Amino acid sequence: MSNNELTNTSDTPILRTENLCHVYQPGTPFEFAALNNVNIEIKKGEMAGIIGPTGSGKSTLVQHFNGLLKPTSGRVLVENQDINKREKKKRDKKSKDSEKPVCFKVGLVFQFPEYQLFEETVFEDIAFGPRNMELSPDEVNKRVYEAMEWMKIDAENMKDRSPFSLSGGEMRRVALAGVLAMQPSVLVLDEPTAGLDPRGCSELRDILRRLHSELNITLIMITHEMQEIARMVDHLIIMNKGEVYADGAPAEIFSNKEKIEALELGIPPAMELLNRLQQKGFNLKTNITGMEEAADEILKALK
Amino acid sequence: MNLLKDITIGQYVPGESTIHRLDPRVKIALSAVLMVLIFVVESYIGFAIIFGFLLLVTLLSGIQFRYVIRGLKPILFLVLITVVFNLFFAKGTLVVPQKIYGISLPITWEGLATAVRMAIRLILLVFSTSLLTLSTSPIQLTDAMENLLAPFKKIGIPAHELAMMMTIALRFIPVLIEETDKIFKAQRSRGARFGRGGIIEKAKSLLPILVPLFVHAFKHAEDLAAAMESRCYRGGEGRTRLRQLKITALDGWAFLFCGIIFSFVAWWNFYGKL
Ligand SMILES: Nc1ncnc2c1ncn2[C@@H]1O[C@H](COP(=O)(O)OP(=O)(O)OP(=O)(O)O)[C@@H](O)[C@H]1O
Ligand SMILES: [Mg+2]
Repeated sequence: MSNNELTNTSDTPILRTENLCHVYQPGTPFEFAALNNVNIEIKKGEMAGIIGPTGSGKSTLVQHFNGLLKPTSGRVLVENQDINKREKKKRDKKSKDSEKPVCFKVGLVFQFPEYQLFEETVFEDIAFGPRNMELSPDEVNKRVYEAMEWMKIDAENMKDRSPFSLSGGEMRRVALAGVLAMQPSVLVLDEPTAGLDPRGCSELRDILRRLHSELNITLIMITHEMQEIARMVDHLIIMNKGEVYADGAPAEIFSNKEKIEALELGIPPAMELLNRLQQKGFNLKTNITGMEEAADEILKALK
Repeated sequence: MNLLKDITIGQYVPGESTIHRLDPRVKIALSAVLMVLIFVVESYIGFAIIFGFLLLVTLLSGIQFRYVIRGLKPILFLVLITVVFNLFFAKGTLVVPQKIYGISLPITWEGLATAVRMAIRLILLVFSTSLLTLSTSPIQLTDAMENLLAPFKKIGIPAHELAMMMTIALRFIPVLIEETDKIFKAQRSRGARFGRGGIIEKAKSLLPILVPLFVHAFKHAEDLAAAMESRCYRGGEGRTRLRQLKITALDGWAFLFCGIIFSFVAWWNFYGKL
């Protein structure tokens, strides 16, 4: 069930990088250029996927989106504002909340977010983010319950439990709720399904899809799984060795088969099937990523 | 922003240089002799020769001089304190005998000389130990320690256990640094602010980092214990090793070369002053 058609993507870019470069540990023998001239643009309301081999700079890239890492050169723009420049200006004015805007506009969920749990109860942990935003207690309360509902956390039973007593999948959802409760307009997730069982994976994906279509949050997801991401997202960015290797709609990207196969990331199974059928002489389109659409295409070809 | 990125002490720079290939026991032994020498030497010529020697070793090791020097940054404060103490608390002839506005500056020539020497000593000391750890992997270091301590087993020093503890500690320092960095970033993404407000608030703001860090350190410890037990680890008794330490001709040459230089510095210090 591809929901590419359902999304209300607009044309306004919400996040953009310009010639973004990042060098780790400059001036040491461990110096490493992790990002090299990255130019990408994410539109408002988009569901975007970032994929690439391990060490290709995906995590490094997304940590620039909310100002955790500073570019070695180049710029990161959120809603057309250079996030690193604005901070400086404010600091000059001795404003206290110099980081407030970016950090709260772009919510970043790290790989294995259960690492961030620390409070005594689930409720308190989810409330940590909203409290840092200095919201009123009522508002904090409201947001925490909303976030729990979105993440399918049973508020009655769970809210007073210790986050450390939860199962891995539950911890993951609590951690995600903690970021969601801050109501960011862009939600960036670094391998949200890593380490979950298949059922947990598909549940989490459903939640993310609903978040995207119902709240109209801009979603950016990093993942290793080509199969799943290809049918979920409407914008795919492939990273390789710190550079953008391919950038566009999934169907468009997969139409260049050789280029994708060169990276050995795997091809969505539906597409693989269509490719093989085409090789056997069937006359059908191959740039389809969803199983249902593939089935329709095969039926059409058989008629 | 990258937490703790300046920690270079104990950071090994892999390489294949002459210095890297020396037996770690030889390196430790020679470093120990050099340390004693640094504290015995009084003359500036002696210091100059040792400094030249360390420069030569840096050159041979192929590690950037700039990088070795970075390791000195954290101890500059210590050097400063030592200098100040030695400067003001030594008896002798005053540098400025006249009183200025009725106050005499309590700095003596003797104090000045000790202060400068102390500063040089500390710098040379850190320089030489950084060279040792930069050119020797932690595994080699602990292997060598175990080997050197082995004779003392008879008097109850648990050489193997000490070495194993050291290996594990060294192994987990980078892991814990990385984890701290990750947790720090995750909490910052949730709007946490660190180091603001009064001392209580500052301490409180560290909780979101310390709690997960401890939880994970304990988890690592449990996992490691389980992994070691399931591989039948029973301590050092009857254990063979994958990496055998071997003394080669290169080590002989190193001993000879360092022996000549070190003896010369020592001789100059005690008898050479004319
Ligand atoms: N603190 C650091 N210091 C030096 N190099 C680093 C640091 N962090 C990451 N790197 C290097 O930068 C490169 C990109 O790392 P990054 O974490 O962005 O990769 P990734 O695409 O997210 O990989 P993965 O899929 O394994 O998560 C890697 O080669 C990594 O070794
Ligand atoms: Mg990553």
